Amino acid sequence: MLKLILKNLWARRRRNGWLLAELVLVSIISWVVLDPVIVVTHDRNIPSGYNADRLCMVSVKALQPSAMGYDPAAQDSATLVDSYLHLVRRAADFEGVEMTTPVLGFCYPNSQGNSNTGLVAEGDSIQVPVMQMYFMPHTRFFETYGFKPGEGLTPAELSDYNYTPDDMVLTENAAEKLFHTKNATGKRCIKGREKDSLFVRVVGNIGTIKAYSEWRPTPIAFRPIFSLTEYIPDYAHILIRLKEGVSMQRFLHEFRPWMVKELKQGNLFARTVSSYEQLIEEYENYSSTPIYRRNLAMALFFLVNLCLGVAGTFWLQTRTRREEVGVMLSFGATPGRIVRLLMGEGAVLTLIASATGFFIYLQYAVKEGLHKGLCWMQSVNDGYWVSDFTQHFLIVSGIIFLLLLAVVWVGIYLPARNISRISPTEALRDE
Amino acid sequence: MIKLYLKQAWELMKQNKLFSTLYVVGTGLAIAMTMIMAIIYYVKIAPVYPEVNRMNTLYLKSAKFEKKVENNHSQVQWAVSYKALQEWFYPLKNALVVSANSNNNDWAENCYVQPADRSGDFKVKVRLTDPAFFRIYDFRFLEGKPFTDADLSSGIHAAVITDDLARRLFGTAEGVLGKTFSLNYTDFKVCGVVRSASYLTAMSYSEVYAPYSVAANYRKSEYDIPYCGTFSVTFLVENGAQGDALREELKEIVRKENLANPNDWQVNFWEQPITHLTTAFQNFVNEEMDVWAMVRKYLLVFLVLLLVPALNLSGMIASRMEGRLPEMGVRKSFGAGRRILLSQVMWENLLLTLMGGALGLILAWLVLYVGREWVFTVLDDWVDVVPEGVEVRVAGEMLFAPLIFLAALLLCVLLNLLSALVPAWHSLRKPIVSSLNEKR
Repeated sequence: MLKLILKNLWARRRRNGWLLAELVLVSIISWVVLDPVIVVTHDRNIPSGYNADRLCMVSVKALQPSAMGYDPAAQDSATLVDSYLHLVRRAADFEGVEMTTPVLGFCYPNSQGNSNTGLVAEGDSIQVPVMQMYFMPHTRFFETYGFKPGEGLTPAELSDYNYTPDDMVLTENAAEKLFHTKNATGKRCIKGREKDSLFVRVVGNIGTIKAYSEWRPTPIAFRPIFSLTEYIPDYAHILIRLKEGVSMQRFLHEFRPWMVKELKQGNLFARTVSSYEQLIEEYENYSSTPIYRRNLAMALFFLVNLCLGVAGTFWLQTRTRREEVGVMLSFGATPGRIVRLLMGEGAVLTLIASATGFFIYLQYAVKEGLHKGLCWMQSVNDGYWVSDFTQHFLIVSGIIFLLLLAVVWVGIYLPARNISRISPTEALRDE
Repeated sequence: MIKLYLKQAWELMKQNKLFSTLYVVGTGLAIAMTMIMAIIYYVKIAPVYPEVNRMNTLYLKSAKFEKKVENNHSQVQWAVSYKALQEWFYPLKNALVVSANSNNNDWAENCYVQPADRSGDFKVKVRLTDPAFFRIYDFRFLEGKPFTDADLSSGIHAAVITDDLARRLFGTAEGVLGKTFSLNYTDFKVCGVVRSASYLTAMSYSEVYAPYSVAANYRKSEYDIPYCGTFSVTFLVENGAQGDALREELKEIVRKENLANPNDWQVNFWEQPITHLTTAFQNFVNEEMDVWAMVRKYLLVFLVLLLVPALNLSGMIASRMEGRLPEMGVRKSFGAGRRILLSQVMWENLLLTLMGGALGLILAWLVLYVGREWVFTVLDDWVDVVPEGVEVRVAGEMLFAPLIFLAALLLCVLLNLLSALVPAWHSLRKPIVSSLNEKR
């Protein structure tokens, strides 16, 4: 059958030339628009490393001096800290709450801001870029987030450890990158930017986590903070973990009115509460969601066009191919075989066009690289197929080829079915 | 003759319903996609309510200050201070109107209204500005008037609010003058109600407009540089020439100030104030705009959007022309020239393309209206997400402008030429004998 398919395509090369050109163009465009979508989807599906579905976050604000109820006496730093910690404890007493923790600053998983540094392992000379996140010791920070434990101290022990300002907790991938081991407890790093050697000691490890939902995991160091005043009220939040089995939706419905009325102390008050998944979604609205919308809309446009083009071209060919099909039917070919023949023509056409299109795109990719995802931190050798050029190119090419093939077959199926059902006598009447 | 061609095309269209449907839908999709792009940029650039003076509006969004302390150099990229407004900007000669906006973080990001029924705070967009703002942007006041210069200098808590917010706060947009509402636990008095601007007119959009003097420390400068602060500046000029003169005037101020403080700090406005057109295509004011690279990028996108459907239609036309070869053979044998036949085919296809164009335009309007919360930012590199509770208005003037119709018509002609010319010309080159032989 393959021989017949090739002969048919060659005999109609001029007619099919337009279709081939369109297919080549669409295969190149598909690479441009679908590669980011595939890479971002892959990265989003990597586990986050913490349990976000039972988390929610309360933002804390302070009354302005002109506001009613403002108390100038409650504005000193000690009172602000006391008021804030009081709010954290009060939130923990609400029904359905398992635990709460203060989250200070603008660097925490999926935060709008971030803080980065370069660390060098003691005895090494290579600087590793590391993202820094901050926590307050003795506040159940690691358990509340639900980070997966690493080797060494448990999350509860890490929360309760008596830290010094030069201590840190590393994620497993950061430990591996710096020290080539998953357990870096007791090892030391030199802070990269300092002129004098400043050592930072690793107290323990937690499992690898993603800084952002759409990133691949990057090295992260958790640093303790001891002075809270600079963070309150602008960068102060309360993280809440719900008990197992408590519905987030129901909890928020009940918590919100209570919070507006009751969760205030001194000049501080709780302003908003959002589930962590909502925060993740809000962040994605700025970065990955536009990619999905723009690129998928483009892909849909080109694929629908392709489908219409294939359907139109093959339908219009059915008139001129009636006699040929009539002869085949009179010699015993079944309608199924006719359909398969036409579908086979589409498949060969798609294969030739895709191979050409992908080869053209490869020239560009070799020079400019493939899509790297949304993570702007220097990449780590993470073992994901999207990070390997050959695997990346082959897998995405495979996905795009299958997509194009499906579209072409959808376009061909109706005209093919139509022509395969005609009676041989009718088809051969003019012969 | 054209009438005859069109009549014949109509009959052919009725005979080949499938071909006509595929052709019209294919064309419609192409026109829809390109029109969506065109309308997105039309809304960004064209004069629409209340930004009717876009062609003569210039912006200074930020400024770079380089500070020298002993051997250390530090850079701050923010905006200008109240002192800069008073000394540099308000006295400018080459501007009809100069208006300042405060980008104070506390007010730009964290403004919540406490409704009287205590149903929970809700976020509002607040713009801290001066009365000159309402001379640049042509707001329709339903009630009251803008706050005055006296309100600005006294720091009175007066506010112009939109009709949408008035309805949300008081249940009505009428008779609300003088009423108060709580914003960040501070009472503000309504001094005017305006017809709400669209969220898509980002330079003027807000729900509350208040004097910038309501912010505490609005006179404060930042980073110990007396002219560094939180204000961005908008200018209304008479024409492009005055815009150029304004730019020169500002450059002269920068030159003098930098000469006067060689060991303290240096200021840089880059090419600001920039035109509204530039803001539509430039992400950051400090980036050099490569106009040709931008034109190439958009031309390429535009071409690809048209080329794929054109190839698609060409394939269909080529197949269809084969079916019509006997007819063309007969016409040729009776003396019809290739040019006449080509003209006939082109007119026939133009009819179908115009129908597709109409379909595409309707489809584009539908997509833009239904997806208005995200479609208008779909081409942006940095997407500004619509805040919760904000209704994105798409006004008729944004969609039904004469320029849009003209663009749609031109696109149809272009697509028709791209798709029909080559296959038709190629098919008509066949000799009469060969064409007639197809009839057998």
